[in-house]
Amino acid sequence: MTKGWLAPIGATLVAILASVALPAAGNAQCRLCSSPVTTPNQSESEQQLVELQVESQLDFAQLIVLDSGEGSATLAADGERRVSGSVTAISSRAMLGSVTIHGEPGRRVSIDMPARIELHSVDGRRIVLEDISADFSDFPALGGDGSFQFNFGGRLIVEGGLEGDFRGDIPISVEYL
Amino acid sequence: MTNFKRLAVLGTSIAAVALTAMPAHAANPNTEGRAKVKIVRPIDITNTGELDFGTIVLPSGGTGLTSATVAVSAEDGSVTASCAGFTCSLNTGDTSTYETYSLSGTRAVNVVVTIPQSARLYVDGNTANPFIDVSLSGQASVLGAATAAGTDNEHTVTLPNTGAAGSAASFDFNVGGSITVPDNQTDGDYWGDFTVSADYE
Repeated sequence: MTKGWLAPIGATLVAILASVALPAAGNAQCRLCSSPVTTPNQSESEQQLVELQVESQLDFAQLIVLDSGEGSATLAADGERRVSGSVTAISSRAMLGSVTIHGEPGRRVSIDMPARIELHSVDGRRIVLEDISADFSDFPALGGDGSFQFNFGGRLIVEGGLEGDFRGDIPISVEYL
Repeated sequence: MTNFKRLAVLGTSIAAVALTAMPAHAANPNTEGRAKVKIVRPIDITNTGELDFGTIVLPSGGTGLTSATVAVSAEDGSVTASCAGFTCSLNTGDTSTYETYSLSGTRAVNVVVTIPQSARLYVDGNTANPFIDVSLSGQASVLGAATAAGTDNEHTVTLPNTGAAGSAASFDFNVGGSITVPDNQTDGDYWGDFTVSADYE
């Protein structure tokens, strides 16, 4: 009698367990990303998520600043370097920031960065990094290998007589078009 | 009834398993690049004093086979001389003068002090006249060990991190040297200039 009742229950258990099997990696919709990922005409199981990888910081290295007057130092995304005012020179060790995007080959993406941020010292002083820009066209396409790399730079505004180490974060986001 | 309860319990367990299933891997479409800079004040370097080897009187009938050597220590100006057959105004145990440099810049930052390994002295300072070379050395107790860089010696020094916030850091150092004069050197007043420089590392 007991055996007869268990047989249909066992079959039901097998069916239910099969329906809660773990999904294949990368096929489930990302619930943790702040930017939604949509793939028209493509099943959710075939969609590859997009992600960013920071390769290097935007590093102005050492700036020599005279005692008075405002100045600026520019590291442009196209490689141009220039100084003005109380900033006398940019170190040869200065370098652009660099980011790599990984995702579906051939997909066009939209990349968002602020035009201006503040850098802070440990004692609370601030300087401005403005004209933040990158060396890509409006909506670049990921390459055949699913990656795309871009450089970014900007213009630092400093006051004469300022000294110290300053750091700041530049939020960058990407999403498929 | 018993069988129904058994089914209900099993159903609950299965639902619990489904709720705790592992989420799929989530990529990160958002990140933060970083920007940084170190702002420093210009380096200022000045010098006082003079590196003086005194007077060296040549023996008569010099053939170039013998020489006199006079060295002035960068540490304290103490003299070490080897003047057999010559007459030297400065002898071992005496004290002479040397070049003293004052360097200032941003606190707690490394600077590279560059001192030429040698300098050339000309009669009356005229580069068209006979010359003699002197070897130069920085004050090791302040500058540390030297690293040869072509015809220069480089010393990497960390500016002190003392004083009021926003004030410059500074330190002094000396440069000494030695001269070797052959017994057939052209007589005259020899002098010349050399350049000591400093840059942030």
